Amino acid sequence: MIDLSLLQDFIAEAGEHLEAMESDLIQLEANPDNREILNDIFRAIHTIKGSSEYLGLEKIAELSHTLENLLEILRKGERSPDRKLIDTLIAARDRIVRIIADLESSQSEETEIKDIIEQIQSLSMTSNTRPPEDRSEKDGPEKISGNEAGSKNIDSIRVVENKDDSIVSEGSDVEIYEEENDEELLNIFMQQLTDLLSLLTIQTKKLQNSKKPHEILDKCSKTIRALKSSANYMGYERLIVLYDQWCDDINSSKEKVLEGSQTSFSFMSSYVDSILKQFPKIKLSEAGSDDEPLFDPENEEAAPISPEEFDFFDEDGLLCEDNEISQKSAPDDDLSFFEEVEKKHAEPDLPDDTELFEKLGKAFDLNMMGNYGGDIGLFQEKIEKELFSTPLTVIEDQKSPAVEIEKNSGSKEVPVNLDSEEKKESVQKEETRFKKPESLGSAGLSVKKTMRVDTDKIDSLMNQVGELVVSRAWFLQLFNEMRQLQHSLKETAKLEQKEMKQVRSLTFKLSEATTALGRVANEMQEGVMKVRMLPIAYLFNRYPRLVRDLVRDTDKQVDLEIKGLETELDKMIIEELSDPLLHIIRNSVDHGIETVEKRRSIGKPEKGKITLNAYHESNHVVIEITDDGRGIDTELLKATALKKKFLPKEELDRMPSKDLIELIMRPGFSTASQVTHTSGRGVGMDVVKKNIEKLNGTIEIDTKVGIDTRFRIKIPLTLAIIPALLVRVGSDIFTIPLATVEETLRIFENEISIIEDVEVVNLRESTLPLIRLPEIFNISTGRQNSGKLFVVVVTTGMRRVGLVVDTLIGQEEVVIKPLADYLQENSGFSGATILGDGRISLILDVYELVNLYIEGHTKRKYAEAV
Amino acid sequence: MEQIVSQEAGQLEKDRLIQLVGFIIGKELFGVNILMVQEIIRSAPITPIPDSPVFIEGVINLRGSIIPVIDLRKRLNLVQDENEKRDTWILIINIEGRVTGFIVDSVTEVLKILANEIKPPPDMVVAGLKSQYIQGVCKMGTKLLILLDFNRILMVEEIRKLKKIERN
Repeated sequence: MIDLSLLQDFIAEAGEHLEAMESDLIQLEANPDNREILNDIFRAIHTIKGSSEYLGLEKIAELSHTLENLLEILRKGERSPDRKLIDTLIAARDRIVRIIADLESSQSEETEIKDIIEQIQSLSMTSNTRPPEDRSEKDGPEKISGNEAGSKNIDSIRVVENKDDSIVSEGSDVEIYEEENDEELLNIFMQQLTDLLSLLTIQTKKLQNSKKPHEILDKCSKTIRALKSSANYMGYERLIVLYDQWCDDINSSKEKVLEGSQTSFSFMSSYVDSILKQFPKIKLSEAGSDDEPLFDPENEEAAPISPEEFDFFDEDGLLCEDNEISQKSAPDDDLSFFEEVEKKHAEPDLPDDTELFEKLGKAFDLNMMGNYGGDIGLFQEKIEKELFSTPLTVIEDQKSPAVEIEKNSGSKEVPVNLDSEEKKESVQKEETRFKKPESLGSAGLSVKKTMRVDTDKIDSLMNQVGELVVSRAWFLQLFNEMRQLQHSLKETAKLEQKEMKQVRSLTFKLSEATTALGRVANEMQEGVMKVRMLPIAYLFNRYPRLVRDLVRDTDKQVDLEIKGLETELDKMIIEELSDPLLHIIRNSVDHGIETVEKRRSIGKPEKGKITLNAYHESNHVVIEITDDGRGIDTELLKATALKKKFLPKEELDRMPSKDLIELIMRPGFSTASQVTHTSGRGVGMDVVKKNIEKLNGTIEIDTKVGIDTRFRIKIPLTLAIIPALLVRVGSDIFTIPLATVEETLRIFENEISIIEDVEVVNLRESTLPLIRLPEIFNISTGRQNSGKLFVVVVTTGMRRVGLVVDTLIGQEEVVIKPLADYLQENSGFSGATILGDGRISLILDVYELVNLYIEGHTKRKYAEAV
Repeated sequence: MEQIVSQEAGQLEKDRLIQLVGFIIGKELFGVNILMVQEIIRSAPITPIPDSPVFIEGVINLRGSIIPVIDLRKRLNLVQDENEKRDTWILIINIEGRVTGFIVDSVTEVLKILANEIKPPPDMVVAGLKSQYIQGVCKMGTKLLILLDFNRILMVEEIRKLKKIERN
């Protein structure tokens, strides 16, 4: 059985990769020659392959492997991504998504993949002289790195590089991927190794002249034991054996020293040396400044390590971290490395480098010769990986003009990463992340790290913050009571000025404390809300695929333009918005955008254009979906409404066009004469409206016939805490979300007239139907009819109604808490909130409430008629 | 967990001691497995929910959670003694994850009974109570203890239907 937590991680990670892959594929279709996109896709699929192999998910691994082969053909330029190919790639991606869905529900890969694999393979076959299946996995990446190098016109590198290096390069980028998780560990390990080995080197140097060599030897064996435990942790058995031997040798040497007999400490440096051979990278940082073999005693003048060298180590550490960040884009790094090498080789005045490479080569040769024989393969891969994943170290180390080159090429690489990496991260963040390496040399590096957190944890945190907000209201109330007390003490109890002083100072302190608590609570609330925020890119990036699929078999062409990707929104809202937006975009493509022919004939550009835009507007996020299609024809709407008997003709004639347009959001309303497979059934816009109102949002439609249509959705930033208006009905306090409140009125009983059994008032030239809350809630107000009424005017998009309440209490931020499901459904309430004094106030679901009322009203009317 | 006894269970099962929270409504003694009871509180301010079934008294604020409260007397259609002054308790019971409060007249001490003393409910009406809500009965001295089936009492589907009917 697969480890569940690992599997969950895999599902989350693969999901992200697949999502990125989807938008990349769509982009690739538009720019078939863009190698960066191709590389991104390859990277995504490669990562998925790596982790699925690790988890033993055979189907995903097999499918992604086949996909990889096909992608590789693309990368080699043997085939350009035509539509059929992209279709297959998308289908394959969808299949992986399905398998992952299987995994989520049943922890097993149920979906069949044979057909899709055959499809991919047949595509690969037609394009290639060599069937891709023949290639071993190891071959793949070699081709890629070669190809990638080629694509950047640095083929020369292959020539200049000596053979050993090319061997090295083969495995390297594969390993970086597949052991992503180890990278960090390895970096720590390497750091420690570097530090301790340098310490050992110093000790060895001291040994030569020391009068008390056994003490130094003791220190050495302590250091080696530390090294051994870390090697043990990493599971490097060869190293452990080596350390053991070393310790033994030190012990025997120590005995000899203590016996007083003469002994050579040359074994020390040879051990150091042989470890350095295993980790050529360390050799670089050690030997960087003095180019001579370490164990050459003549060159080692027992000098302590220079501060400069320590700098190296620091930088080394930093650079390791840097690599950690950009490891996902490792091929790019490799690329830059190759560029680097090439540039250096192009400059003959840098002999160090050639020497360096020769040394490296030798190190590997020795390795291969079987110094350690046996299972060296794996070990070696690690070294290779280490070597090649830290190209920057090499360069910094040389302290040569190459540093400049690196900086330049480094900055060249930055935008690449930007385009490709994790789209979900906001672009801004991305920038800061990747600009860091440039400023590396000087200041300390603070790496922006992200972590995955269970949403449940955040939700519970949010709940706690909700409690805090309630407590804040409670304190505010206490303060008010205190003030009242102070007042009554002064007025009624007639306390002396002196006695009052204490009371006043307490009131003041209480107000201070309340303010402080309020401030903290506000910041806390904001902070937690931010944690839940995601850039809307997360949502918008789903739609290019949708549009593509929609126009696929039609004679329409549509460009989808997306703006405001970095606008942040509560994750829960993002999820809730997914469907409504899907409906609207689908409508725009289906009903809005005309066919190419039609557009040509009316002088519009052939390609239709749909724009998605998002931006903040005070405490709300506005999402606009605009299409330059035919617009909504109100006359057609009228005719349809009449035909379907939605409304009587007189009323339709009276309606302003804005209200007419909102007819499309009524259930069962569709003007499409034909029901297509995507739309026309009249289900859709009403759902959209309902979903958006559930989020306490509003939707507006603007349209100009023949020119464009714009849907404007406005939603609060978060669901959990909303500004609301508190009203009193009888002895109960009800909460009305401020988003739905338009205004409040005070009217006189005699202003009310009755039209068709409905009470209405005149409000600026239009009639406003009234709903008496005490009546529909069956609450006796116990108030004498004073002739004056408070009315809260609420809108639910297409309807405007006045809710008659007893009194208005005020505006407050309230924390929404759900009611038990059976209480909340169809109740007219969307939840409840706890007020400052601990009382519960029900939150009105205005949309539902109005509908319930109308439903009840028509039923009553019907019953009366019968 | 809330299945107190199954008639097919073995002898060992029958000898098991069951702890019940006893409570009184009117003159009847009822019991509920102690494991289902989350806590017992003195009556709290109840916020009524308009348009809900008559036995749903409303919701209470239990340390920040909003919990529905059902008047057990109304739910079980027990006779209401008009003169009786109701100084009530609320049993907070966890019914398969739904935390719900039930208003009762008073609460007794914890009752210990043997599983095999519980008899299936008689077909006829016990204490004016339909047998569908009864899990079993048990003699307690001279009194009859009625074990209530809270799963049945909180049949969400039924409540939904009731709501619909009442609205129309």
